[in-house]
Amino acid sequence: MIPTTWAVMLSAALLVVGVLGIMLNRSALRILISIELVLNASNINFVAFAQHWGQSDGLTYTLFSIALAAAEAAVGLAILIHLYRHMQTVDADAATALRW
Amino acid sequence: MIGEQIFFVIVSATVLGGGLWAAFAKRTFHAALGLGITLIGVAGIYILLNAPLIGILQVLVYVGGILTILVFAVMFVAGDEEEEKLPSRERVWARRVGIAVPIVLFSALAAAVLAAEPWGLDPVGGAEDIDAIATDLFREHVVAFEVLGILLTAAMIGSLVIARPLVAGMDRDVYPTADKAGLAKSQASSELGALFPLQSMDRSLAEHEDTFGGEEE
Repeated sequence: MIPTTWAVMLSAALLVVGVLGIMLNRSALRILISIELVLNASNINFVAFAQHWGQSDGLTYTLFSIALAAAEAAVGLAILIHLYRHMQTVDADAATALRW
Repeated sequence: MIGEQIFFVIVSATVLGGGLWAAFAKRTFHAALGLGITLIGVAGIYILLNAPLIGILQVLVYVGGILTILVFAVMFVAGDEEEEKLPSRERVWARRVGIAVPIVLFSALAAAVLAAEPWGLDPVGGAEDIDAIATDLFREHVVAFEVLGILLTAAMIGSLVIARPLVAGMDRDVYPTADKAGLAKSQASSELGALFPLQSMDRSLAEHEDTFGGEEE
């Protein structure tokens, strides 16, 4: 059996990679990709602890989380395409219309 | 037993490598491919953690759905623009922060994990029981399940509304490589115009250029 700690460490590493991607990229598309990495990191934790304690709750929550990620990606990409139509760029630093 | 653990390490390396590629690849399309590697690797992790159902759903939903629309979006949104370089003083600071943040964040997380190490109870294992998941999903969490269905419907309709061109012919400016004459002709004769009231409103292309053309600074 795989030690739970290993899976949690993998999740932590993936979270760090995702957070770095969110921080260092300026393209909104890259930021969305990095958000997917972070969501996957959280799902690994859910599954790891579901396996550790023999409870199926974590697996159920993972299913919810995957569905939510799908909704998030759909809306996020639609907003991105709209942004590109308006500004001919997806640079997150350029989209300042709603910024105070 | 030990083979399982060796396999876990290999798959973990794949996941992290794909993740790094996804976050820092030179081109956005390569980043999408890196994300694909990570997602498939995470599905492998789920299977190694005795949750093959979740692994299969991961491949179906993430790789089959999310990654596909992501690739479509990459192709719509086009060029990898050259990012303008920061001034050199800021670049030095950016590099320092970029090195410090992952180290600090990961060591904080690792310390927390190791501090909580025994995790309270002894491992039981064998969580994957499709009957139990079904009971959870359709009995205990049935309200959340239905709400999720509503949310997905709303997200689908919402993204359709958001991504729709506001004005007929709007995309001609955005995608100049498209055959303009052919596009105009096909839009004039399009029966879709009747279905989308915004497009058939009396806003001409010239007016649209006034509205949106002046905003780019």
